[in-house]
Amino acid sequence: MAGYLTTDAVEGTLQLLEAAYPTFVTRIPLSEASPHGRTSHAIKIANGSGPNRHGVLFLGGLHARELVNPDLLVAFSARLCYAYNAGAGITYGPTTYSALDVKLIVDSLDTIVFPLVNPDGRAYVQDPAGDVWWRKNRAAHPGTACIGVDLNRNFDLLWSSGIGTSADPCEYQIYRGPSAFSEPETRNVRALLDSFPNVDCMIDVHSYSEDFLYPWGDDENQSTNPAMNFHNPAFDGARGTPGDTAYKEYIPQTDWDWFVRTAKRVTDAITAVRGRPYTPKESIGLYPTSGTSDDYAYARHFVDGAKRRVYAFTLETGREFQPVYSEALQIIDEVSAGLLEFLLAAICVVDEVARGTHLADRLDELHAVRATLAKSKAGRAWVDQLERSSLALVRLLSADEGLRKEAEGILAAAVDVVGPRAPREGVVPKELVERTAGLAKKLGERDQTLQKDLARFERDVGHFAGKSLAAGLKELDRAAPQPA
Amino acid sequence: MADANEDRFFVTIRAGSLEGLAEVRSLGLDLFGTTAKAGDEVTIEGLLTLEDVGRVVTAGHEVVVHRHADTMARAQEQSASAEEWLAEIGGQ
Repeated sequence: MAGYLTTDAVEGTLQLLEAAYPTFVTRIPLSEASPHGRTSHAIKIANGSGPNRHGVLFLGGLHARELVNPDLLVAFSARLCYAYNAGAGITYGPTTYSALDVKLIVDSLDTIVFPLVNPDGRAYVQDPAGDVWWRKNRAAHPGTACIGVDLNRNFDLLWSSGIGTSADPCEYQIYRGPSAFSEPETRNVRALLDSFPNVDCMIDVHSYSEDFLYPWGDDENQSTNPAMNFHNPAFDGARGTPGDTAYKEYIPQTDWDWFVRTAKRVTDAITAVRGRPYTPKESIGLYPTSGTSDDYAYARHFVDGAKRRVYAFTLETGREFQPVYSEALQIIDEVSAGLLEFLLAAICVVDEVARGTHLADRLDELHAVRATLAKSKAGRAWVDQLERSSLALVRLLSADEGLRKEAEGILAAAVDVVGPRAPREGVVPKELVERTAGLAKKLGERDQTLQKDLARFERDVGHFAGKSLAAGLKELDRAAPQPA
Repeated sequence: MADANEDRFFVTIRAGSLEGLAEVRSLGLDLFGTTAKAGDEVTIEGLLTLEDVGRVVTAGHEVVVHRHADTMARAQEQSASAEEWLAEIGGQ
């Protein structure tokens, strides 16, 4: 029976994976050594390249005593690589992901895995002379005999607020460090986000409680007052009290919806493996925090609009920090199903149709059309529906080159008439509406689960014939009942 | 500061109320934030020394001791090598 990977063995597995699968696994050296001089690597699993690819980042091992998660991320990576190389699917418990799903993930996404952010901490936990329940890194603090910073309180998001953190270097668990990003390990995570600006989804894997957490951690969510947000100093001192009305953290409703929908999808996939009830919820719960990786990654876009929005989660695996290894292997299986589901959720049908075609150069225009749609009620419902059905649509289109070509032709024609570079108030030709409705009908006939939604789409798209996009959306907002 | 050689125990603290939970948090203990629950009662799990347990009880809260921490420590269950581990895990 295998046991927990040592710090050196985690690094060793990454090296072995790169050596075994050089065409689609690349080791990424992190720029900064740990306080004890250890160098770390991440790996990128991707067959192909280009600025339009979506990136997904997985982090593990920030907290030293949570032993299962680096092993989990390495095992997940290894099975993904093995399956892709063999042209096979992956089975977790009763759930099988097809070879096509595996191929879609590796061909269309940049999956970046940084399994052990805190190598010194893990070495100390596994050292018989160390402390098996150590959580922080192993940084020394000049002038004291105390050691370590809680890395998941050291990110630059409300760091100075003190919410759920301590300023005392001798605090055993939640010392936030002398400044935000004072630690090389957190700077390595920031460097990954900076180096891979295409990352727009992230999970930081921790233990324990069988929860899947989405922003925010400092206070409860609200989507009605954009001014009440983490970088508005008018609210300094008001944050961090769950259940009060003085402050709630702003999150755009569309993001909140995406978080909730995706969290449910991932937890359902985990639970399907052996019945463990993972719960999706807001990070704050009863225990507000600041300086965490997930809130920082999600907040970057709000601080600097040029950065991509990162939908960032924290996953709390298992029911203890260090389960016996036979149980750890069960956790690895069930959570891996969730991670695979998360990757599939990151695949966009429009991007997938465009990949490898002349449309790849026009993705910014297609995304602009989506943004325009999302500004109206009816258009927003379409975008939501597209996101919910994306994987099923990709599967159908990948299985039939004729349908995929038809989808490509429709997107090209659509962006010509309603894209941002189209003539002002471009009119949607009746012929394009009929082609689109025809494709929807064919797709609905092939997948019963999509039939109802596609039939509604088929009907709704008729409102655009001979009209501009804006006029069609206006009419649809008036005429069409909104989907639930 | 906790001493690695000191006896520690996995516990559940019954904090009574959200205010009680906030009070427990202020004691500087090793608490596991995501385990905080407010159902019929407000509880949180943690890893406490006997001295910690005494402080919590003195503050008026109930502590349920589950296991000695040593019985939950598996850091010495280590894999022999990266190669063996990968082979066993089915990645190569």
